[in-house]
Amino acid sequence: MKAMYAAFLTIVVIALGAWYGLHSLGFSSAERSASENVRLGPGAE
Amino acid sequence: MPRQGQVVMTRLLATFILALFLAAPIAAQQGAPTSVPDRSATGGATTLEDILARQRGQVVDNAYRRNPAPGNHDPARFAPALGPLGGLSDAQVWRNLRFNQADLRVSAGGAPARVLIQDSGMWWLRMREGPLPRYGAWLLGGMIALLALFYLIRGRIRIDGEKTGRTVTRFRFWERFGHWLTAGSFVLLALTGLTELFGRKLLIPLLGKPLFADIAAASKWIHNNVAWAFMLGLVMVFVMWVVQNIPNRADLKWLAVGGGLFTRGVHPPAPKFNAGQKLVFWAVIVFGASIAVTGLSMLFPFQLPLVTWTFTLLNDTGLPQLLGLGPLPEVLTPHQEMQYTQLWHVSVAFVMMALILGHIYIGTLGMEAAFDAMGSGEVEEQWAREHHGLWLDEIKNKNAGAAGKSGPAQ
Repeated sequence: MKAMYAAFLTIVVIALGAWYGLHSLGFSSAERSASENVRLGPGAE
Repeated sequence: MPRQGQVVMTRLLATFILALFLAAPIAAQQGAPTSVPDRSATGGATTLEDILARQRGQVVDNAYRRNPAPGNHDPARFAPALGPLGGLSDAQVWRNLRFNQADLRVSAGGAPARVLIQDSGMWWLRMREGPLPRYGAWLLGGMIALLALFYLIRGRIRIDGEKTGRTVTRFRFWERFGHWLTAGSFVLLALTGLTELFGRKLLIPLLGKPLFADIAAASKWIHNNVAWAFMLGLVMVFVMWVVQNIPNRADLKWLAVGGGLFTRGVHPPAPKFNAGQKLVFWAVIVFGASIAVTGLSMLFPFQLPLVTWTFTLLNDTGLPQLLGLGPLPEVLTPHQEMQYTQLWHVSVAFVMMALILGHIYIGTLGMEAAFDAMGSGEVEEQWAREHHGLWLDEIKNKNAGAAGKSGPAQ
């Protein structure tokens, strides 16, 4: 059963790692689906 | 003579009547009138009948509004002046926008943003809400019913002989790890995927919208991020087991007796993986890869168009034409690409889920001592003798050989 538990733990680690990794690389949904034009920030009125 | 003449006349008459009956269906085919509806009330534009027909779900030939009215609105008449619309009439500009034929530039969004109205999207929506979930549900339900029936009739497949109390190592740590990485992620992906397809219809009435919103958001997060673990698992499983899953002649013998699944006491010899397992292996690899590739396409929308390439390849083989599907469309809007991708992804996923239900059944409830193979990796020797006799012989020979080598030495 150790292999099964190790695998399930690995699934969690990979999922979290993928989410964090893709976010860092700029592949978050917000980054990809909205352009600079609709971002509020220091330059906005 | 007269008798012969009578026979001939009777036969002629019978043939004539038969021909009449055979020709009768032609009248049925020519029954539906293909005349152009009368649109004089609106001067050639959409009439009330068109609107009502569309609401009833009937197809209305929209050539009357897609094309300029005959003899009128000829863009060439305005060409010398050109003007701000580039030589097109107002009506033609709006027609182009309505039927996705306009030459547009957009400030953000790229090619997908240049599609303002996508007619074929409605076809996709009807498929996604109609046949797709319906046939999928029938497939899964049917599989569950079939397995229940099998269990009621055949019962649990027991170990026929006397248990020895000794075990043999069937799967080592990394084999079991690779399997559970694939299996665990598959179950998560299946459940979240089903939530994404059926959730709105089935769960909102049960849970209400606020709770379902959270579940749906979590479901999407899990589905998108666990997918990577599934892909890694697929690669591991393939690399570890492909050699032992190559089909050979013994598999035909195994299949001929149904693997002994349907008859007590029948135990066809099998190597490490029997023919049934080989079928599951190849189905998982092929379907899993297809699901993974279409899934990747959806994880990175509009970045990995596969459908145009696939349709062009299929058209070149001539297969769609042979099946009466006609040449498949080779020019697709980016949205059509994603829509076809989604339909394929979900369809293959349903097939794979149905197959895996059988796999889970036989590995847990369906067969005594089968789970140990993936649980602890150690199986009862008698179980191995009955279900994978050739593999057990190999193991015994290897151990005997090793014992011989490391036996009395020096």
